[in-house]
Amino acid sequence: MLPVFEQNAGFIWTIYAIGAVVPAGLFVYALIRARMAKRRLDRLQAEREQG
Amino acid sequence: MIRAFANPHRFMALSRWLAPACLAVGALLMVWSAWQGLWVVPQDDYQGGDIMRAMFIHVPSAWLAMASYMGLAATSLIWFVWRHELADMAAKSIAPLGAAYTALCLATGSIWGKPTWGTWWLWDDARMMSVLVMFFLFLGYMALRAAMETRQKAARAGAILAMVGAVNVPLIKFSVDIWSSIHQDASVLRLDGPAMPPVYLTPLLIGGLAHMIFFAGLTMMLMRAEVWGRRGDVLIARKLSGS
Repeated sequence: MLPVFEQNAGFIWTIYAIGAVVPAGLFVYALIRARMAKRRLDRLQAEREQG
Repeated sequence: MIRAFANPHRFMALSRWLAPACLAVGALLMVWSAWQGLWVVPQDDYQGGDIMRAMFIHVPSAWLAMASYMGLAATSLIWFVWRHELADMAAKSIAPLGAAYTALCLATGSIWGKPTWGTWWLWDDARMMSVLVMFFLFLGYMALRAAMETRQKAARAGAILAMVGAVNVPLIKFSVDIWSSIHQDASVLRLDGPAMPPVYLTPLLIGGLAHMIFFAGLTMMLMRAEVWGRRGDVLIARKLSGS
């Protein structure tokens, strides 16, 4: 059950929403960067072994 | 000691399990801190009622913003003095994360400021302006690196900017004491101890620790991506040179 605030509920929820979205977004960004770099390295290593 | 930690093979072996562990522990502690902030701690009527719950997001993000800039400057210094490539990778990885946390600090502070002080922003507030300068320093660091022709030039130019910009961090910390600011004086990091009841202090400190652990996990993930990227660049260079 969500807490009920007497006043400024919109401000409080907005701050907590941003506080959740930014770390989550950074995690997705870091994950995508890591996966892209690993795939590129794997592809280059495979090309080197073949050729 | 720095040389021992500057081995990319050792770093990759360590970060393979340490990065996900940091991310998991950090995320769990962040959820706990948010739960405390929203559901458990009582509202403080002296701090504007329920809006003081913003503290559990805003203050850790402010700590992280400053700590990440210090991390950027420290890793830049290590690269500048000892030329350890892993230090340059750490600096490059910290910059976008630090910029995001500084933006989070500015955004949450602005939203907290509206109901508390009646304004979103004050251009003559020393604390707000010095944090804004730090945000631009992070952006400037990334833009400068991207503008350089070679990796060595990017590392060198970025390191100089990061080290010079470190002078801004103590200015942020002591801005409320030196200049006029609408912000209150320090209430946690004080010489005579925190001026805050444990019911607020404990979730705040654990929230700060959570964000730091999570940040460390993200930094390691990006550093791993950088190591893989540079190994890929070496393979391309060998292919082009025919070796």
